[in-house]
Amino acid sequence: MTEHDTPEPPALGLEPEDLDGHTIEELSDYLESGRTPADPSIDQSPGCRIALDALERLRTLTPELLAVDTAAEPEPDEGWVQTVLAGIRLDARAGRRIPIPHVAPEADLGITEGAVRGVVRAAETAVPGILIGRCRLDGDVARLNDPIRVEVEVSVPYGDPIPDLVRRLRAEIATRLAVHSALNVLAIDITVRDIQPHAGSRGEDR
Amino acid sequence: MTTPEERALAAGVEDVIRSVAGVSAVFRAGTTVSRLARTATALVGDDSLPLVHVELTGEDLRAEIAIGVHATAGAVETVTRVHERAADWLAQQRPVRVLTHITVVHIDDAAQ
Repeated sequence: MTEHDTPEPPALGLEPEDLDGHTIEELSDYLESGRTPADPSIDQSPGCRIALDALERLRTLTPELLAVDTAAEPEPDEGWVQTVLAGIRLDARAGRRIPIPHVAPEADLGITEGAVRGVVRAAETAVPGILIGRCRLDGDVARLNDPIRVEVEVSVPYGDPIPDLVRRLRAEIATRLAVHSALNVLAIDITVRDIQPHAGSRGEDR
Repeated sequence: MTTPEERALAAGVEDVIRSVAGVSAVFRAGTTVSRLARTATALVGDDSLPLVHVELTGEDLRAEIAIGVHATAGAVETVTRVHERAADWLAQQRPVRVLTHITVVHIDDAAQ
């Protein structure tokens, strides 16, 4: 067993050691500072890098959505943001090691579950407005060719046809998984958990 | 404990890995036991250990490698290239059987 084969956590409420000693708040501050001065303990941590990627995408989207919420409602609902942050924390863990086959017996190649979840999360960039909250790989990913289900929970923008958004996201996730892993993906299950106000709605037609 | 030869091989192969197309970063690798041993070495003042872990065991040479990959390059193709380049280079330095344990730990979506 290597450090890239860490077991799945039993529940949320993770400790700083899940991000190599850093918290999500510290990583957020690091982003705010433009990642300067460079912190090797963050930059050289795969978990922190995965979390930073997701936080960076979240930062570009949430200020606009929160501003719309504030204009339309007395208090913005940050529950879905917390759900996304919880998902980021969880996804940053290395998790199980997923084999990548090679003909040579001397080659033991793989990718961490954390890296794959990061790839799945990044698929949201292909569907503007969608945010991935939770991402899970269901099945024995450590065993080559075992059928896997990818389970994703998302928040979608109000006003756009949900089936179309989901179809586009599913296609993007499938493409990315094919390029970055040898997983036998049986299905990509996408559950819409939240609908967020569209930047153009401003609450009048809600 | 890492021998001077193992350290030199690790440093050399790390340079080779960084030059492989698609590799965005090299991260610290190794089994939990070897990481603890290297952490102990760092605590006594030697923190210059390479990120790649190379171990000579009898007739074999084992290299443990953790890499980041550019999203545009693809993890499957890149890790395969890393194995081939690293194994070739190591076999030239030491004519023994080379075993590689390579793990992609991060996919970098930033523009190359």
